[in-house]
Amino acid sequence: MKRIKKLRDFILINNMLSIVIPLILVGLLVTPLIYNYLIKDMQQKNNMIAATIAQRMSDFIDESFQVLNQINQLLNDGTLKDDTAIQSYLMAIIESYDSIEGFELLDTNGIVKTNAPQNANILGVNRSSQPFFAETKATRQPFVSSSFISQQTGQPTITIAIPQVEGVLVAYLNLEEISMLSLNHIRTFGDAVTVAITDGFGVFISNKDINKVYQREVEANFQSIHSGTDSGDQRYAFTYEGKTAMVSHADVANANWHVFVYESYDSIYAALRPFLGIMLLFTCLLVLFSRIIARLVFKDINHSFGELNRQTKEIAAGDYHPINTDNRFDEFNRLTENFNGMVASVKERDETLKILAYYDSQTRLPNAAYLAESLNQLILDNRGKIAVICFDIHNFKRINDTFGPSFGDKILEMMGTRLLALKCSHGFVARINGSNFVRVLTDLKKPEDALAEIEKLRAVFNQAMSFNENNVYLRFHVGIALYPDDARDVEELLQYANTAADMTKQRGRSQYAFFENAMKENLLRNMMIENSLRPSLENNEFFLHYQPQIDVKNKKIRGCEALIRWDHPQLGTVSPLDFIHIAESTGLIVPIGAWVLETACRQIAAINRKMGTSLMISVNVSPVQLSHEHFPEMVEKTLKRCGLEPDLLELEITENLFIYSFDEAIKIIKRLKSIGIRMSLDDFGTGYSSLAYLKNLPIDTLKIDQAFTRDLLLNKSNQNLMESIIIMAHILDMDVIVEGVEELEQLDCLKNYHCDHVQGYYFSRPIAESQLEALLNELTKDQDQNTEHE
Amino acid sequence: MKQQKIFSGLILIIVIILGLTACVQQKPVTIGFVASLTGSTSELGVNGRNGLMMAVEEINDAGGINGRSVEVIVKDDKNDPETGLAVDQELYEDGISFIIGHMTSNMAALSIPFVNSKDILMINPTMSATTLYNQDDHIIVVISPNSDQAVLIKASMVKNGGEKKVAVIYESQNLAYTGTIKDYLAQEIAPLGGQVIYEEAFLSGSNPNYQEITQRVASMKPDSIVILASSFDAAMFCQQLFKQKSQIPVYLGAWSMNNDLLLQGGKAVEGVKIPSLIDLDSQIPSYTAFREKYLSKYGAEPTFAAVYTYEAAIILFDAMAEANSDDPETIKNTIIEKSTYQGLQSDIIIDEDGDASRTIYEYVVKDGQFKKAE
Repeated sequence: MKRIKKLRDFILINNMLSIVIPLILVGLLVTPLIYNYLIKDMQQKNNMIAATIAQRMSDFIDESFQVLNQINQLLNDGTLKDDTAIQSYLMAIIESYDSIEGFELLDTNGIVKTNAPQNANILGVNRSSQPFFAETKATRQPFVSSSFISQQTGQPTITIAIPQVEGVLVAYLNLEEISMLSLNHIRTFGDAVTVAITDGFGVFISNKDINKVYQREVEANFQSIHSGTDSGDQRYAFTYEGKTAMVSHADVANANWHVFVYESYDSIYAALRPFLGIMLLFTCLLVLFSRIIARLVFKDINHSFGELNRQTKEIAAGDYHPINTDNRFDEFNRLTENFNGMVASVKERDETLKILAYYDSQTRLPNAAYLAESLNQLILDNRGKIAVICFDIHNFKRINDTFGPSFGDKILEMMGTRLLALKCSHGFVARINGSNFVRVLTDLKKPEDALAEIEKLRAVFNQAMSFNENNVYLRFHVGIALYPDDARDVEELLQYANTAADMTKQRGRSQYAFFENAMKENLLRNMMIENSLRPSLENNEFFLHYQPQIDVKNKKIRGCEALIRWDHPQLGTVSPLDFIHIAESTGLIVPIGAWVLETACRQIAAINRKMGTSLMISVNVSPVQLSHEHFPEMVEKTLKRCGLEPDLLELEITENLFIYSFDEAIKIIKRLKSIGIRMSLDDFGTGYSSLAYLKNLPIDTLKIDQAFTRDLLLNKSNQNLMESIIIMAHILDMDVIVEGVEELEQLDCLKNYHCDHVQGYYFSRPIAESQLEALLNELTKDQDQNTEHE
Repeated sequence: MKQQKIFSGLILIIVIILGLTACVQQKPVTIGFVASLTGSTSELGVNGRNGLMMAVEEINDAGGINGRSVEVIVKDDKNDPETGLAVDQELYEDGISFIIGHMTSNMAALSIPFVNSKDILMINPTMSATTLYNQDDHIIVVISPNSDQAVLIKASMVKNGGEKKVAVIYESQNLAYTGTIKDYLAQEIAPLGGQVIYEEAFLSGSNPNYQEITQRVASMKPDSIVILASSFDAAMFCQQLFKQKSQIPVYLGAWSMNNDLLLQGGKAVEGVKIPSLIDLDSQIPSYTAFREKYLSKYGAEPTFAAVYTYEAAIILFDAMAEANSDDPETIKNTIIEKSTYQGLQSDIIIDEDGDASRTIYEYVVKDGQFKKAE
């Protein structure tokens, strides 16, 4: 795996390496050059020193020879006649010259004739084998000897000799003095160099270490150096006592001596050291400098990185703003540009997601999630009174069923467009689900302000919705819940607004309702009813009451209307008004309806058999039941099961059935009628009573709502309306049953209008099956009496 | 990653180079050389040192002892036993295990016990004190015993008919050498009716009165004069006899057989008889090659001291190479075990006590040269 490193370290190290490596390379390249230069320089200098010392030694030899020559002259010109004179003169010279320690005057046979200082042992000895005698005598030239042990001192010595008449004049030189001499010369050139002088065989005659002279040591590398003399500018580096030294050498011309100048390589290293030191210092300074520069450079980079880091962190935290950094680097600008592009696209996607999440695609209105969140926010913000206005399209499902779902969609779409066009201020409109919309109105001064808003909405909805040449006028149930009056949290507010809307729906005509606490109770009750409705059928909590329908002319009983009653274990007897709409909304109306039909048919059939009558039974049918697919078959089977003639069954439907799908309703009614049963239209006059469609209805009986009966005697116009309806029904070949007849005057009035049948408390309130027989008997008796009276 | 590879490569290279240099630069073998290098007795030591240096030069030129170069620490014993002991001690303290020297027999008295007491091997090129022989010690002797010289001198005297009255001048500091020869000689001539009628000792380096000593000796009218001294001193005595125009035959010990004798002696040493430890006329190639080299290097004929020291060094190096060891005991045993070494002129036989027996030659100075006696 690749190691992750810090950019800062990376830059610093690379920067440093890019300086150090070239410098080291330069150092490696330059150091040998300087080294060579230093060596050459040193050698030149030392060669010069060697030459200088060689010259001095040469001068010294010359000087010594001059002394010999001087003596020779004095001997020759007879100045020094006798031994005593010679002796004293020579001694004087020995005393005045440190470097001369003795003289010998040899005769032609090499016999020592005179010597100074005087030594009896020496006087008269034979020097014929000594080169200083033999050579000098043979060549008649001045001679410089090699080192040998002096018989005078017992120590190494060098002699110089010149011919003297037939013999030879010899001077013994003090090697210690010669060493001193050469060392004194060399001292002026510093401590780094040392000097040594050897004779022709390399035996030291001068050395810093005088022992080497006394021990007649041979210059260790004499032969190598000596043999290489001719090759000129050659370098000699030899190891002396473990140390490598450079050797320069020069010949002392008149003595066959050799001068060696040594300088240890250490001094070259010493000379190199400052250079290397400077180089090192320079490197260090450059590295330091590079670090500073790199830091400065990195400061900018770091700043850019830091900014980028900080801002991307903000972005990561959800704050999608474009990155804005001031930096000097194009790369960073490009990076931020790319990043900004990314941020923009993320933002865009977020918006889309938000729209998807918070907006309803059909209406383009905010959705339930948006509502919940925003409303919650509003509550949290505590912006004063808020009205939650819930409005639900009345019978939207039926519209859908009637005109098809695409029509429903179109309507919702149009709703959305219109609501959006409203540009609601103080809050918003959201679609919760299906046909349920909620207007949230903020900054409410008083509850009545909501009504003005409702009016505004109504103005929008009152316009017809047209699509594919279908015109629909929408009706709404509006419920209002107030914050904080009614509830303080979103869920409750929505629930209460819904409840209020439901209440409106139940109340029928009313267009809006504020939520009241009673509704809450009602809501609870409804909930309880809904919960206990399902088991109620199994628990046989339902039972039927019957209300007789009486023939106005002969007071005969036509039949009965079966009315469902619920004996709730906790709530007691529950009115159908309270639970039928719940049963309808939950779909339980289908089994309940079936039970009612079965029970009614079975009981009336039993009474007919028992009493020998042909009473009809009227059973209310909910639109939900009717729209059920197998309803006609179910009716047919029920009749057969109960053994009731089809023409004794009358199914009561309400106008609601026709509101959305008139044709469909007609089809179902015709199918039912084909069984042979009768159909009646219940509660005529309460709904959208339209004479236009009434004529096309294949129904047999028109039941006029008790509201008409109640107001019948109040004025003449009501009586006229009643008469007109009855006449119209008869024209349309329908029987008429007037409900809610409670007084004799009402009956008499209806009799005048040729009403066919009546139903109401005047004859009987709805009664249990058990009481029905007695009632029938009583009514028959009354009838008989009436007949008798007539 | 790449950088790491480069770094490891560099380190590897450095390690290899260091390793190689460590292998090449093995610790050198350091040996000691002790002899009298200054003063009137120094001729022997200087010649010995020259011979040794040639051997060292040769072995180093040939790649050293098993790759190890040889270094020499040279010490001057000043022909003084006390100084000799001191320098031996110095060498020992410097960690030296092998010493070539001393050159004169008088060093034996103090040095030999010291060497024997320490873990040191000493190879004597020219120390011929009889006390050294027949002892299993830390000493290897390359020279044959002094008695050989006495026998030769006696034979030479007998040849010249001068064995009856013999006068002896001998150096007193190197009594271990001079004394034994003197005593052996007396023993040798005694059965022939010979006798040392006069003997006088002198101390080298103390400016002895050569003239008076020779006058005293000459006044005894001996048949032969035996001078047992260094070449320098012997030459001085001969010069005095020459001055006195003495005709008494002079016999010298091998100690005197140096170039100095000829140089310092001049005409005075003509006819002097001397036992030689080497054959100067030898035509054996190994010797002639050595001789030529020596001559060109030092400008003088190699003396026995040079030859013997050279041979001593060769024996040591040979044993060290063979044993591949630094242990003195091991080396000594290796030398004794091998026993026969090829000297420059003849084989050197070393017995189990580490003592050698060599051929000895009679020489005479003639025309300023050493000549083999007829």
